[in-house]
Amino acid sequence: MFKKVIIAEDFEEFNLAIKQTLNDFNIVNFQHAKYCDDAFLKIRKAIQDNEPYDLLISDLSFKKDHREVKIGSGDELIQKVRELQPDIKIIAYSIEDKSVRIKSLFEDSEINAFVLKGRNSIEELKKALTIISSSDQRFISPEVASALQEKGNYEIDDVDIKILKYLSAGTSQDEIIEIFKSSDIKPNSKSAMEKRLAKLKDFFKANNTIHLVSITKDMGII
Amino acid sequence: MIRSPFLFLLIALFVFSCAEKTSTSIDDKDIREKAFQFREKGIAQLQEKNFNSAFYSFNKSKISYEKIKDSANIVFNLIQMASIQQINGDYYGSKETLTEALPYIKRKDIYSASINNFFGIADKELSLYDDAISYYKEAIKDCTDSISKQPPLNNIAVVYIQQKNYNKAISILKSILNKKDLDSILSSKTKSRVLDNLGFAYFKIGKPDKGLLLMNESLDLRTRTEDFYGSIESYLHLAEYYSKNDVKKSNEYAKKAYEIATKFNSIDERLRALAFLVSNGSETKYGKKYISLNDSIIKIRNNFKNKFAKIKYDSKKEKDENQKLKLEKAENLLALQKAKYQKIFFIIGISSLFLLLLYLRKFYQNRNRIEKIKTAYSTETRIAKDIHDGLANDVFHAITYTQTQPLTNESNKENLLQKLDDIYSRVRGISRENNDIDTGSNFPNNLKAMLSTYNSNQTNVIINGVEKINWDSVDDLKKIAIQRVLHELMVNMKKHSEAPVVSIKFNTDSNSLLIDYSDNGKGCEKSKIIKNGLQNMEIRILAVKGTITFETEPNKGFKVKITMPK
Repeated sequence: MFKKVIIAEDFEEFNLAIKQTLNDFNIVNFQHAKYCDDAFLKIRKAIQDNEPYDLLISDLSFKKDHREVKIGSGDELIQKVRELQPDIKIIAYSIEDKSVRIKSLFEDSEINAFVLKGRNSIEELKKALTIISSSDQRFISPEVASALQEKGNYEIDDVDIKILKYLSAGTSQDEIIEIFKSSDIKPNSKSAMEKRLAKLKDFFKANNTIHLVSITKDMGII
Repeated sequence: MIRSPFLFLLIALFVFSCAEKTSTSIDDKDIREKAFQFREKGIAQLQEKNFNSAFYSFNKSKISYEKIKDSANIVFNLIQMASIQQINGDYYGSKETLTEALPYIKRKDIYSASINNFFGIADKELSLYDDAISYYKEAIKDCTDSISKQPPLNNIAVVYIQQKNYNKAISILKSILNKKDLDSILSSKTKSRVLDNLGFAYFKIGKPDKGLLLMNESLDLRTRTEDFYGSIESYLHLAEYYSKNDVKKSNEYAKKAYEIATKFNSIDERLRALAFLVSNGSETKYGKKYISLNDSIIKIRNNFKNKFAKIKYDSKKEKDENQKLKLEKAENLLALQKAKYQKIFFIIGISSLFLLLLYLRKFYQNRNRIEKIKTAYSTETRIAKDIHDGLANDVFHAITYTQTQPLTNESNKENLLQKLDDIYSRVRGISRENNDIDTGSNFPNNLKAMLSTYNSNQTNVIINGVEKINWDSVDDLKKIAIQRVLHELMVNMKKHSEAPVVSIKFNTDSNSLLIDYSDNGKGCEKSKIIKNGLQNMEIRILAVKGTITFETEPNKGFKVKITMPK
């Protein structure tokens, strides 16, 4: 388990939740910073003193006040700390649920865990601490877990729309393949065609091809 | 050399009549003054027989008078010029000059009489006797009193003598002499001329005694009145008279005529006298003299002719050039003025255009500002409404729950937590709906991610063609509008539609962006469309000059078409 922890968080209330969690894990050596700048300085000093932190728990958004700051957001702080001390474990702890931002944190700043502030945040924080302290596995709150999954994006392209149009005109699957082959549209293999059709039926929640055509027609896609 | 004494009379008359005519225009005063000076100079030069200079001065005076349209003085100057030309034997030139004067003659008077008289003299000298007589007759017609009628009458008689029509000449000359009051009215000069001519005519028709008597009477009169110039004519006539039977006497008279003519520098008469001397067969020196004199006079006269023509031509050229210059000056002035006006118009045009632009800019800025304030205001009210509708009720519910339910009970506590969590997620939602939008290169991904967050077990959000649009070239304001509007559509969809499938299709054509939203949810009566949210979308899209149309019916889903210029 972690020995020395630093918390960057400007909200006392959420701080309480973190303190309670750390207490539950018998971690007593933890420090708190209300500003990103302070947190960064502390981390750097700790490295100089040869007593580096082994965990950073950071919020993402910080309130702006009278103090002028160099580092304005948790994202920046995390990025800088990762550069300064590559082996430190980092937990991002935020109400942010934008998948792009979360994804970027995992990919660019290599955070070890993302915990969404919410009803279950104490439980999730505990889980995250347990997992990342004992392994290199990542943790992400289940509510935003989709951010790391490619699935969930239902995108269709123009070939899909072409297929739907041909189907609605009464063209059979095989004929569409022939047409695609002759006009050099790819993919035009039978399996690719079937895969696409299956995907479209899934996307549009259609039971069969006729249903698919009827739905897309109704929605004005074709 | 002067052909007619009538001229002097006319000069006196003209000077008198000119003096009467005074200038009325102050503007013309300078010109009149100048013209008058030239005229006086011309008269003085003429008296000194300085013909070239006189001709030049009269011409100058005439041109000046032309400017102020003083026709009496123009005619006077022209007559003077014509007389100078005649004196110097330039008869064609004098006729030309006289013709120039004709347009200024408005009525029959002393002017027209004088002009006709000069025409007559010129034609007589050019041997156009019939024309000469008709001009003299015109002159007589133009004369009102009998005195002024006499010189032209005498001139007619002279012409008849030249034509050898002596009887006609005699009858005219006689009629002049028969005037009872001749002595008192006619000058002795005129009388002696008439007598001389009459005598010569009698001699020619074969009445030599009567002729000699009259001619001698005339010579007597002339000698008595010291009319030496006139006496030349008498001596010449007498020389001719005696040339037939008394050569010696003839030579005597011819020599006398020659002497006087030489004194008067009257070359024609000298020539005539020399001709008698030569034909009478006297000394050869007269023949030589005749030839040399004749040659020189022809030369001199040709010279004069050329000079007069040149003076007239030069001044005409000068006048033309002056006129041309004047015209050019006027044109230049006009062009300058035109340019000035154009410049003024140009400046006015530019400045008013500038003002208009300034006004329009102000106007549109103002309108933009108002639009922005409106959008901001409607956003504020929307958020306020969201908080009121969504949050305040729930918070109040949580408060009453806490007040009424004992929290020691584990299930009650759990219930309260659930409520608070609901409130929390709503707040998060409101914040998410209103936070800032990254319009940079991440925009399409963020947009897709935003749309995809509405994927759920109930709903599939299908996206097509986001990459078809070149987002880098799309305005930030348009990106924001698109993101906000689609977000609002998704919120509405989640709240109301229960749609299993939602499709958002992006497309582009040559100059606009097209976005089609379509779901197959419950739809609603078009009249019952939730007013506030849709109005917000409309304002946003209109603000970027786009259009948005909604189409819905119960159980037919909900369709939105958005277009905006690229």
